[in-house]
Amino acid sequence: MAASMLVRAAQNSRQTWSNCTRYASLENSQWTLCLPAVTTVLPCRTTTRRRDRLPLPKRLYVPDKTRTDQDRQADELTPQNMAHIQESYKEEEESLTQARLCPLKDEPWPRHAWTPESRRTGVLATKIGMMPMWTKTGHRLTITLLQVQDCHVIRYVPVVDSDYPDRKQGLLTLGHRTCSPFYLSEEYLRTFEKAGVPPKRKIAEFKVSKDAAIKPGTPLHAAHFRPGQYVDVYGKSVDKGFQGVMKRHGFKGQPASHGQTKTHRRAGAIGTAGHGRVLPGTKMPGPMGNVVRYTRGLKIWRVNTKHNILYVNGQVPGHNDGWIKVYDSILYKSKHRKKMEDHLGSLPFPTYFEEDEGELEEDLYDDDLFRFDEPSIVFESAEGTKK
Amino acid sequence: MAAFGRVLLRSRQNLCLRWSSSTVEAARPAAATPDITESMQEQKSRRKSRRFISPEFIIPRGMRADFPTKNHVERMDMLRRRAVIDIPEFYVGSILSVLTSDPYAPGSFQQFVGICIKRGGYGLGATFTLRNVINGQGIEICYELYNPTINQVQVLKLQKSVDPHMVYLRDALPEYSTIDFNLAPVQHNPEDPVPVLDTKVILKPPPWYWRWERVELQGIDMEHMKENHLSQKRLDKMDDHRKPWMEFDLMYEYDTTKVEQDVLKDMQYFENVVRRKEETSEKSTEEEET
Amino acid sequence: MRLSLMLLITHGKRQRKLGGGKPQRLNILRRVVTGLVRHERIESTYAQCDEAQFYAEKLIDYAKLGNTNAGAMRIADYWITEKDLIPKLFETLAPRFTNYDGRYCRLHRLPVTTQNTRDMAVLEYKGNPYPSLRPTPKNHPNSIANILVEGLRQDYEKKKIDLKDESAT
Repeated sequence: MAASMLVRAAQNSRQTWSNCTRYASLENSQWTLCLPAVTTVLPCRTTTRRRDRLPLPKRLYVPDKTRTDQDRQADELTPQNMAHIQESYKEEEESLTQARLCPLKDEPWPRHAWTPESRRTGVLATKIGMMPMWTKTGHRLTITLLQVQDCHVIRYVPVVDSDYPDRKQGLLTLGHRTCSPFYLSEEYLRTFEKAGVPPKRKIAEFKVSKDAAIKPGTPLHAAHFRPGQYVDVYGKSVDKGFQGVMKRHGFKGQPASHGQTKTHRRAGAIGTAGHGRVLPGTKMPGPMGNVVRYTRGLKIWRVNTKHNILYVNGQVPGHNDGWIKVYDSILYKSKHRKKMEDHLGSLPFPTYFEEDEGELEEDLYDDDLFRFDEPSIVFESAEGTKK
Repeated sequence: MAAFGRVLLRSRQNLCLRWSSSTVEAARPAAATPDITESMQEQKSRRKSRRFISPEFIIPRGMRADFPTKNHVERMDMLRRRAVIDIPEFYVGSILSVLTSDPYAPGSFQQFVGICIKRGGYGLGATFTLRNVINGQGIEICYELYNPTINQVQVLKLQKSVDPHMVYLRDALPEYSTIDFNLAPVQHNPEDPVPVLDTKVILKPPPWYWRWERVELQGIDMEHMKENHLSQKRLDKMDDHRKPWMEFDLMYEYDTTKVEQDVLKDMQYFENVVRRKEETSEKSTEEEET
Repeated sequence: MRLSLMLLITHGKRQRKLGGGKPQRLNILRRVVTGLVRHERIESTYAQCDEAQFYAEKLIDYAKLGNTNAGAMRIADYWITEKDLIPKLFETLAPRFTNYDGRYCRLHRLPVTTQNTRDMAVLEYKGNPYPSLRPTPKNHPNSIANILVEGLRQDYEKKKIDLKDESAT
């Protein structure tokens, strides 16, 4: 095939492309695998003032740079072998996740009763969207849907070894969202071997009291929570990038006209002559968002036990498909001790086990929530104005 | 590898072309012109074969809405509500009557009749806005389709507007938005194609809600507008805002075939599985009571 | 999951502004797509190739409807600026992809050299007559990894057959 010369397009003299036949193969020219252009990840310096930015997670997949192309080719499996490995892994994964109690064959751990000093575990969930719901009095609610996907207990750190021996709390590590082991490092995979569960995308720790410890490998479900209770939610807020002072700190800026020279969104003064320096912690432009935040006291209106979805009131930090930690609200402690006993005492402790409670209905509703299979709301008396 | 350009763009509803399964045979480009070329017979047979799916079932494109479980669960709720109350087929331009119950007026229903000027949202939060002129005052009420305080939605006159919305009625002469509350419902044979509302609306003098000369809407009487209402400056700038290339920008097309298939599957699942379960559970509770 | 950090920051916006504005962007992409239809493999900047890939594949989808379809002809007439290529699109390219369901193009990124610091790329329709740019993957069935996995596979299949026999009897 003769290498054709550059052709000029009819409509415009500017050339936008050229016919490409001169590369016999890209093998001959030295090229490296081009990853899509990624902007620099937001700086996560551990400053003394901003402690809410978590350090960068360790890379789960670390490519070995000493391997050559020849090594890689030699280790490349034939398509049939590759297909076999992926299929056999799928079966293995299914067998690991089928057990409702725990895949590990040894004895189950003892179950204790709830006490006011107990603290049970939370759950890791994915934010999958938002939708409106209505109460029986016609009041509109904004609901966030959190789906508990493949949540398993990975390990339990006893009180003595945990970071909180004084509070008598151990650490329960949960994993969420099973992922493929083929692109993960050996070190990361080892964390899941002991529990006998497939590797997870995200791991998080929850503080639990000694009587709420759960055996590693146990799956957790959305039915761990029940409608009518309140939860706290913890997640990473939406990343806004590098933002100026008006958006980041709510400064008022300067007027748009009346002689302002190039100053409309600036901070203005950053100190006084008194101390003669800029104090550490002065509000300035910088990275905004992508920071862990708590949202407390969110009511659970509905639980879907089939798809493991929690219908949580209000907004939750982060974007769709982001991870969220959900656990019983600490707001119970400070007020209404009696309410706490009523609420938390009736919840499954240490978690929901199908063997104990039996299969639940597909949808569990709060008493005040309007169910769509009920007839339309009609206000018959003046008392219907209560929200 | 390539993150840009691979997946379909988030559509702008005004300019979104719907390329659904029944129109694959006649790939129509162009701003939404009604089915002029098809004969009556063809239109009738198309309506018969294709089951009507209300637009709020069609999720918009983009990562934000792409969660199959969430969509399934939301659709189940929508179908449950539709099993209780009849939410009829209607379009922008149809005349509807809505009965709502108000907590501040207990014991009676509030009725509002109006012409639907826009439909928005998707899923359970889908809305439609009705407009009417009462005692010389233009009134618009935005209703949520799945709000439980709505007791009845009745289509008095089923007709389809040529434009995706009719917000220009705000700047049009009041006669176009005035609808009698006692309008007798006009019967429509389900097999017949939906009549198209092709009146060209005359606008009041500016200031307007929007610069209507810059937007390509078929429902506005452009000749009258150009002669009477526009200054030379505005007339000169009018053509700058025309976008003839949008017709050919394939990124704005939304092929809803797959979404419609998912919706139909969910509808069948609801009818076969969910409804039966709920009926049997109702029967068992009745038996327990007796 | 966000597909990339860029998409998260741009909040899902996926179009690049090429040539400074909407009509210019489409004009540039039209020329790229026309060149692609003519030569079936072209080299251009990565941004242009990436954006054009989407339109090139959509064009084939429309072309599959046939040249009697008025809508398809209209789209092809707009996108292909050199009109002698329209028959090629309908008669050569569209039939080639009858068994494909999308992904009719391949995009290769070219190395950035000192002579050419701009991100260049090669966009090609699959099934083009030129020799392939990437090395064909060679199978090494006798490498240790393959021999071991082959043994695993045979054991697994034997187990399956044994189980079947047991359940049958």
